[in-house]
Amino acid sequence: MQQNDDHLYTFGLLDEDAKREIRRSLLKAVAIPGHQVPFASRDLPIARGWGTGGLQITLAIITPEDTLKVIDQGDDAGVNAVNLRRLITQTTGVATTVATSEASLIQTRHRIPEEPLRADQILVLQVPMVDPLRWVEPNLERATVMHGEADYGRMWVYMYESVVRAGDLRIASQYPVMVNGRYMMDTTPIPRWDVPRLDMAEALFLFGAGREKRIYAVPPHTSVVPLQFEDYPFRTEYQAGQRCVRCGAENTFLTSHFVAGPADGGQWVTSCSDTNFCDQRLGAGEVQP
Amino acid sequence: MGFRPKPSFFFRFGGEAAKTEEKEFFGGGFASPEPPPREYTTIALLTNTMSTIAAPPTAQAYFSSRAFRVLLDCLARPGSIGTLPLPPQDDGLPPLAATLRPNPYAVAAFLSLLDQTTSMAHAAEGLWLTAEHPLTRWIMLRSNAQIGPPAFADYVLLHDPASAGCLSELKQGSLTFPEQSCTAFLCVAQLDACGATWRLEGPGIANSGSVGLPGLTPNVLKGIMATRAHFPLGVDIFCIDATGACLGLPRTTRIEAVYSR
Ligand SMILES: [Zn+2]
Repeated sequence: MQQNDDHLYTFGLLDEDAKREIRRSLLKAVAIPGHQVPFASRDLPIARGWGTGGLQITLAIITPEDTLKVIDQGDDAGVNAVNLRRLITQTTGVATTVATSEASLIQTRHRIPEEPLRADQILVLQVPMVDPLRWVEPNLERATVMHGEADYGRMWVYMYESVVRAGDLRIASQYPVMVNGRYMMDTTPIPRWDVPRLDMAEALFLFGAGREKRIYAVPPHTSVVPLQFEDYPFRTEYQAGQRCVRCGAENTFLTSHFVAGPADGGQWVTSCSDTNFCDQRLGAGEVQP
Repeated sequence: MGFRPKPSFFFRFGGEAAKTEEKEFFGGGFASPEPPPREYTTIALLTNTMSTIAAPPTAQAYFSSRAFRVLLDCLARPGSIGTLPLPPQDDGLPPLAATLRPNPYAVAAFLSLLDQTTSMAHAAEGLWLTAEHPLTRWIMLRSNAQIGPPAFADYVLLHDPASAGCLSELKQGSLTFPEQSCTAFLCVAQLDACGATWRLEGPGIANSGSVGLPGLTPNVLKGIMATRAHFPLGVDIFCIDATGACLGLPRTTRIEAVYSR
């Protein structure tokens, strides 16, 4: 990648003070798995709520040696992914990839890649809503005290009531988990499909919420257990007989698309949400780097 | 106080491209939380024709980012030994005492987390060093960190295992704010990834791990244990040896001495 003589920005866009502050918060987050560590979220040239928390983590930890992958809903070509990738590569010059196995640093919204991650990979998740207790305690300061005291009784009651009322866990894509048996953590916005893959994983997971100014982490080999009840066990979105129309995979997280047809006007089809996984299965995985 | 984008950021690519860029960043492309429908066509999306508009990192910034990744990895995987990079310059690190030299890897890693918003303290041979000590001045000059009472310090550097007793004096945070705890850097003679002085268990460790610290006296483990009786309160510790080998011991790590010899 060519270097411009007229450098407008420091490497990684953020100044060293901002990076240092995020790094210090990240170390605390790793040391206290699932605990939300406050940080001074900076303004970035994208609107908060569109990944600034994850972006700030990525910019604070990225080194020139990294190979970056950015996905949005599992898709490297999503608008959010394209914009964030462009911002990061323009301000760092790091190599990028769509291949999960080639990436050392993966920034994502919604998905954990289907391909199992390795110990030398870090996944940075963009988080829109941090606190699972917002359902029972909208005041963030009081919720922080509740986390401190592991005061989760009201949340369990709320969960059970919503189960009984709705017949299933209503908070479908905002599934709370217990991390290391101590902190309740929101898994927003990843689908239930990905929740079990946080448990005892090889890779390090870092979560950043720009708007709510919180950073938290799940280290590798750390227990992550969904809240569930004997009569209503945790379930993923998996449905018997599900299948990707592109690659035929029967055990992936799927998204629906409407495909226009010439005669009947088209139809809804489902395919892998992880486009790189799907492409690789198709054998057409050699997307232009 | 926060980062402010320079307006010119969006107008470096000229004409229509610049307008599109601005629109996408400020909401045009982000207006809907749902991604646009995806076409079943081969995508050629990583063709990056635009040049990098940021300077390469300075030597100091590059060092800090590399050191941080080692610290992060070590803390995420207690028992796995990381290797800290060499500090970019060693411009006359003052000695601790006539014959005692500080560990340059530990000093540099310690320094990489400090700035004017943090407070620090350091100790050698079991005694806290004063604000007037040449090494204190050296660290303060380069970091702008404040030296404070050890009980309030955010970051502490213990220059030798004999100072491990100082760990019990450090702040451990509160139930509501467990992150408002001290992080300690403890210099040791040698870390041996294949050794078995301690057995380690906890988050970041598959089953159990072990680490060797040849010649370590039992007071060190006693000092560490004093910081972790009340999880989530506690002190996170990095042990760093003379070659820059680094062991992370977050407050979640359970440590047991192995008495096999
Ligand atoms: Zn597929």
